[in-house]
Amino acid sequence: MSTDDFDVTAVTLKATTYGVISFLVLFNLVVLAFIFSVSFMPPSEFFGAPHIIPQNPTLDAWTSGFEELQDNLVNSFLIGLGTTVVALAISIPGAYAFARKEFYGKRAGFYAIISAMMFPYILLVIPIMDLWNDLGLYNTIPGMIIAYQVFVTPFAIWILRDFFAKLPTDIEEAAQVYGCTQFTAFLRVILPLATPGIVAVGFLAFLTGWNDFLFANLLTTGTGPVPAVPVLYGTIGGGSGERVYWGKLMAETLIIGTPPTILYLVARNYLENAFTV
Amino acid sequence: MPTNHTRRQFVKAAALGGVAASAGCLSSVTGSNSGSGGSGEAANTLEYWEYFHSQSQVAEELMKSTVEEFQQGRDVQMKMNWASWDDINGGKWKNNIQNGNRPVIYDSTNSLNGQFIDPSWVKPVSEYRDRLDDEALSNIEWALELSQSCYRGFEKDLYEIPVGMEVGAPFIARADHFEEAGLSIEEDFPPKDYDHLVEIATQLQDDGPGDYGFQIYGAQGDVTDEALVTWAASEGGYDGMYMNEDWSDVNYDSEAWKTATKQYVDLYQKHGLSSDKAPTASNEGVAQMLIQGKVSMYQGSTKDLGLFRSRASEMLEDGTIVFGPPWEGAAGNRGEFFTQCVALMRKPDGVSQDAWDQREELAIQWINKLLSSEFQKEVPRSLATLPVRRDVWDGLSEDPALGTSNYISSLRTTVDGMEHGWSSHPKMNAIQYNIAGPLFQEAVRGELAPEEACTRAAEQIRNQIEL
Repeated sequence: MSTDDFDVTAVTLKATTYGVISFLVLFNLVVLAFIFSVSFMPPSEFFGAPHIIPQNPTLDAWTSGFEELQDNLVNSFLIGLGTTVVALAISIPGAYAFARKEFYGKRAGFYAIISAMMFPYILLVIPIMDLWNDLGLYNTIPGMIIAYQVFVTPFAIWILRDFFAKLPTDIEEAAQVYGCTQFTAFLRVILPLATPGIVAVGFLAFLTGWNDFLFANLLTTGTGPVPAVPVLYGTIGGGSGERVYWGKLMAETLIIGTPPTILYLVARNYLENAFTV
Repeated sequence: MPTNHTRRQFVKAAALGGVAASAGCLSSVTGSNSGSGGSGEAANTLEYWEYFHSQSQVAEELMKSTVEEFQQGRDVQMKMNWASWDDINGGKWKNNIQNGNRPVIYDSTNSLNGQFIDPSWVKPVSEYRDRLDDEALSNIEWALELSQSCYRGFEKDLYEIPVGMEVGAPFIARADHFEEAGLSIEEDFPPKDYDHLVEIATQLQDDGPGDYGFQIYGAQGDVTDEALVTWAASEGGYDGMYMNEDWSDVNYDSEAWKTATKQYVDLYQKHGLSSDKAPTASNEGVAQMLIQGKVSMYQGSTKDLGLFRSRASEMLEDGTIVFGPPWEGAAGNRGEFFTQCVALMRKPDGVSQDAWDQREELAIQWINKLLSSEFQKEVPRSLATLPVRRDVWDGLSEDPALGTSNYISSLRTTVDGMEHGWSSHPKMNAIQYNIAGPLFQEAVRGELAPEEACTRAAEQIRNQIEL
């Protein structure tokens, strides 16, 4: 190989890229390893001098963490699932209409929906609390599912509209030529082609319902269906500073983080397709 | 187009059916709105908002097992809200109560609850006092009288029943460090006054195994509510408390506060007896430094006992970690107190009187349980405060963790002659922490003169809060 073939810029770029990626991966892995390690330590160890390998490993934090969270994980799952189903039920036909149909006020309507995303949703908590109290939705799982639609649905419509718009109209027309109605063409042709987008949006909707703290904390009293994340906050001590049982906190963090991780691994291929530019 | 028409109708019907079924399923899963006072709830359901458990792991175990026992012994379902400090101070409780979601009973710390007492949501104790257990009442009479000082700005004398009392800020030390430094834990501990504190802390630092003789803490949530207020109150009486006697003004710019703050900051800035972590340290963090032997002595919270029990119980039982009462100041006391308390709430609108009365009866039974001698014996061990029932005190010293560590004897000495409780003013959070905390922390950092921190705290509170 002559020196002419050696592209210094390309090699430097590649080395830098790999260097940055390695650093980021390492940065995350070290933190994760520490979280994992502390979750197996007894209090005497995690309150003592920092070290990475537990000297007297114990499952106490995991068993007590899971015991404390089990009902709340069910609530989180129902909220995540409900948020996903409702968001998809609204956004799939909505996005399709915005992508393929012509109607009066289409452009203004679309931007009105999208502008809801720009609104800091912390400002909505108090009015929603008041309204939900009047409607009997406060401190209920359906109440939280509906509340999440305020910011999940606009985002879902935005993503799916672009997805539907990119699909060639010829396919839909061909299906209609072969005997499909507009609805069955949508059902049998467009929806399967839009699967990556729908899975991606569904995943993000589930993640919102599963991970959210603000609505989950403020739209519940604590005596009703509390999701898992506010319980995690309680483990931190709620700011009282009197106790933070780091082992339990780390175990609960990993327990709560596991279902979305599994879901991501299952849906990874769809997600990559959906967000490929 | 009959086929298309039928299909369209079918799709519509299926969609409506699906939505209805989903709603039905979810409602059955969720049990619908909790509505604490909701008229749909069974009369044997007691909604209870609980805060004691958040203090420590041992406190959590005690509260959960007691709730379980209470439910099993009676045909009652406790709907628990295991709440945190921020739920109470951050507005969640208040928002819920304003919206009609209120418990029949709650427990908390008295200084956080003026926000609920002020709008008349809390039932005065005089309205149900005669329904409490007579034997318990006779043994807690002293505590009920003492607690009245917490509610002196309100119309009635008493709004909450004390269960445990945090009295003053006890000295906590390593006996082994005293010995190695050539000091006697029996004679030289606890310090008799400020000069004595400086003297023994210097000797501990110079000759003992620890890095620092006496650790102060400047965390915004702790700097104003432990050692500092104990010193100020013991010197100034009401002048050394956060608020004056009739709640018309704050006292941070009194001589008692200025002197105490200067002395407190001097321990770190002038005498060098505390580590560089002082400005951000919490008393719980310092407790850990004591366990690790980095610090030989500090003045913390009675509640630190729970932390020691969880992390270093053997050091309590063998007398390595010992407690001592704060010194008696010019005002004739050893500091101030606040209560771990329980209270009944008034009936909200939309709930039948009969149903509420039945739930209230269960709540009274719960209060009697908290005041029973069995539970009261557990108060120091798990909630880490002085039990309000005097008749259980004598037996507590037999517990090695409470006796050998001088915990109970220190608390009994401290409470003797005590008269000033933390105010349950509705804006206490801002007065005690949000406004004053950062300024006192700056003083600990050395960025603000201690006297100036006191003056500014008082001025800012007067300007920002309608007292």
